[in-house]
Amino acid sequence: MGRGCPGTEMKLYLPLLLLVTAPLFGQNAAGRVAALQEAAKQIGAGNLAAAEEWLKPLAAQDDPVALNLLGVVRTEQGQTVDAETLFRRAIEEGPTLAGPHVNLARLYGKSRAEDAITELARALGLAPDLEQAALALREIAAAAAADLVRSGNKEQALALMLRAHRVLPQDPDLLVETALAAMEDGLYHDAEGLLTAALAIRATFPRALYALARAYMGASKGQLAEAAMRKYLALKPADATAQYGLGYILISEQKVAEARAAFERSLALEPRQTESLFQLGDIASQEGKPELATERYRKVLDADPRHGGSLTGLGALAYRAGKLDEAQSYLERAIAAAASYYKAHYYYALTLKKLGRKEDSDREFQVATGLQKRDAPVTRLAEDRK
Amino acid sequence: MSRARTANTQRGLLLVTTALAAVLAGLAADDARVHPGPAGKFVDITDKTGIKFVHRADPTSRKYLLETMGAGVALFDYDNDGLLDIYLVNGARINDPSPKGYVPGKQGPPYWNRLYHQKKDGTFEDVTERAGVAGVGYGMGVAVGDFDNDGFEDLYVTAYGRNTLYHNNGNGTFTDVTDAAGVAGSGWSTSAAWVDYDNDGRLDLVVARYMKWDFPELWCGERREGQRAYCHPDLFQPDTILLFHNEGGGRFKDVSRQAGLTMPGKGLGVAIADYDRDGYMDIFIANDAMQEFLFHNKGNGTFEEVALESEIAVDGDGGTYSGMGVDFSDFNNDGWPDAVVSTLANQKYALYVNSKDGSFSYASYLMGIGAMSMFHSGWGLRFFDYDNDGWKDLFVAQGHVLDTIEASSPGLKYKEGSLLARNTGKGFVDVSSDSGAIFAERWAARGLAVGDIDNDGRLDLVVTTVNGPAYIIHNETPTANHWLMLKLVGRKSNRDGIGAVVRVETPHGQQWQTVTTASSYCSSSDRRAHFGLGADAAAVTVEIRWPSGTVQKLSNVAGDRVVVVEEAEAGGLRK
Repeated sequence: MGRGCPGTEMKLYLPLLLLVTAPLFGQNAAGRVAALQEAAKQIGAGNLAAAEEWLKPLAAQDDPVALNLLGVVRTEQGQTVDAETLFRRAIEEGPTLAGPHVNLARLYGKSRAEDAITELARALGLAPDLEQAALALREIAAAAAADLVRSGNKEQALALMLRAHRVLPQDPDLLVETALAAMEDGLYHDAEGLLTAALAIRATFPRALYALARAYMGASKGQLAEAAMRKYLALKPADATAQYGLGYILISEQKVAEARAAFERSLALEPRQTESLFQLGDIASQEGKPELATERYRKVLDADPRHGGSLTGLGALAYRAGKLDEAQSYLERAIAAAASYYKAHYYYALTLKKLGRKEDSDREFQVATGLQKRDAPVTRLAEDRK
Repeated sequence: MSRARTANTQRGLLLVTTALAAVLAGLAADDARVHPGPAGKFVDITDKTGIKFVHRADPTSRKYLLETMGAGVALFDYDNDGLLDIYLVNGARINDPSPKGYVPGKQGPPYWNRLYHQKKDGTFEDVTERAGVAGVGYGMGVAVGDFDNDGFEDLYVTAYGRNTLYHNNGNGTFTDVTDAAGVAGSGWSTSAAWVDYDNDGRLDLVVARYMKWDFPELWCGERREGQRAYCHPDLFQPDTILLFHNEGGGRFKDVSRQAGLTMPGKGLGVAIADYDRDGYMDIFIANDAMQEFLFHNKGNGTFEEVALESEIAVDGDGGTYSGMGVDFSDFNNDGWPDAVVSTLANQKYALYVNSKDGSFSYASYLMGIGAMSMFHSGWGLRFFDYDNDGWKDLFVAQGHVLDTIEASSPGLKYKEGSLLARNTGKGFVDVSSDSGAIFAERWAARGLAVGDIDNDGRLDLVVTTVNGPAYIIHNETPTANHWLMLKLVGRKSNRDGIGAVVRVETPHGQQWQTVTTASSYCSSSDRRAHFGLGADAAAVTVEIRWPSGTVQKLSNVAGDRVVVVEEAEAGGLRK
């Protein structure tokens, strides 16, 4: 279930620029207003040089709107240092203008997300209903948080999303993004609260429902997870990933027949996928149907020869059938493909034991148990948490 | 933003392939649910018995792990009047806080262990003081066995710090002979088992120890009101089990090291059985939060830990779990001991079928145990045939270890109902909800002992709870099925006949039972071997393989009675 991360590249918001110029200049200097409108038009058409010609005289007079527009021109020209200077001058000269803050935030983007959020908070303080500012806040915060999660800085990601959330506490999208960041850090109950709040604002919000199903699963609330996922699927019945998710939830609830049906629906919607097929293989294996399990695992491998789960499944079946050489081969491939999959190491340890390689077997078993320990702790020392 | 963590190990719905260790359970349960068969009828008769025991855990704000582990119970006939008596283990005073090195003591009668003598009218009287078995220290478990073969059952009581051996004087009193016997042990002892591992005719003693723990200055869980939690066992070092060889003359020798029992674990449950039928009793240890141990008895006074290669160390995917209680008994009537281990929620109780080649097959899914146990936490458990249909069923005393679990994992419960799983012959079916009001009661259950308290042929239960009462549960299952109970008296073998394997054959099949008082969690059960005979009023054959090697056969043994069988060269039978 991926985080949504719309692009955060610099964008021009000409309607925004025109919107904020109008009240300032409506009653005097009609020529200046016309010049600014013409400059905006030229920017929109990509005629940056022409726009610059219209703007320079006004910028020389420290006209904040002109400075702002010229900052946009510089941004489009890739002159970001000049652009930042121009936006800051615009803010200084027009302290009631929200637009320069938004453009400055866009300039900062996800690489300077903290600064961007600060600017967007200022923009929304000046113009609370400014949708462009809200949009920029969502996009920049989410993209930056996703980067932080990818680099392993989950707590920083959450902190960033919380900052954004505090700027617009009733924004359903930010509630969802913050919840996703909380879940990345294992805080399922907090995520549940945020998502429930999002759904209270926007009842039919598929992304929130999907995330809520995840949060409930994390909090060991299988029935609620199932209900949330079913609500999501009522809105998006053709979502193969969600059908798979439902199957996964149902498996955890021991509703094996329903899970099987969900995996089969997922597979029907997206026949090229491997995961539902793999789950169906595991179900067959656990049901004591090795032939069917083998067939499914092999189909997975046809699509993805390095599928660690299916290689392990086949290795385990071969071990149980006493085909130790075959088991060894599959399991070595499984470990090469998915070194952190403890089940592969476990069956490899069993196979090695039967092959008389006791020391190797013991080592593999230690690897298998060690891999689980990393996930195991339920509690932590408070001292570690300060 | 709170920092509440969950015990759930699932990390999301769509993880990379390598993390897709799907939780599959209960695959065979669906069919069985269609025809669940007759439920049981179990009734709480605690009030009627006059037993008013309350376990004192002495919970503190510090959340010392000792407080949540509960204590065990023994069902045994200490005065040989034919009626089972009950011994309940109790805690001790824990100060809040308690310093390192502190050993809790029993400060007054509320902390005493209690011995209740069953009177002929089915009520019990507290004879603790007269018997002299109030105990010392923070009690954990109890094991019953006649270690000196004098015909009176003795008591071994485990505790944190030091264990106690009570010799039954045969006159209603006991004497603490711990020091003379040399079995005090040390550390944190939990379950214990009497077993004659070298078949010399004297019962030896196996003692599981939990881990190296000493009132630690740790804070686990959340730094929020009501969120401090008991610390995970991963934070503590494992400890070895103890094996005391009975030297005779009331003396024991610690042979743990020379017997090869040097592998440290986190032992909570102990069960014994000769799983490979080589004539020597093997030892299964349920370890918490690590792999389980199976000590194979090599027959030369030493053991070898073989759990991994026997495929009984972990679950079917190679996953470790929190082993709490254990039973080691042939539930599928094929003559080979199987095993079941209770675990914490989200782990599934682990059921292993003996593959008859020295290995086991993880069968929690196929036998239906996985489905019914996924969200439950079990402690004491035992196979027992509650309806006398010839198939051993399963009872599990349940409750989570963390009293804060509902805050961190709202889908789980600290206090839980008990589990009764009926063995259909093809798998297990959860019949708890139809088997009496006691299954709707929510307990933080820990210990469990099984035995026929009123000698009506239907096995009864005693369940202990942590910091709460003990429950005497009477089996009133309506059934016309016949039964047979065998009380063995060893001569060449140990007098209790512990370790003897009894095979009962009827026209409808065969059953096997290993005589033991061990299994479950910290508890000791009726040593009499109980068999449900179904529609058959008699056993065609009763065959006993004594630990001495003697094989004794009885023919056409009428059912619905307790039969005392003495070990003799020619065999003997008396009612």
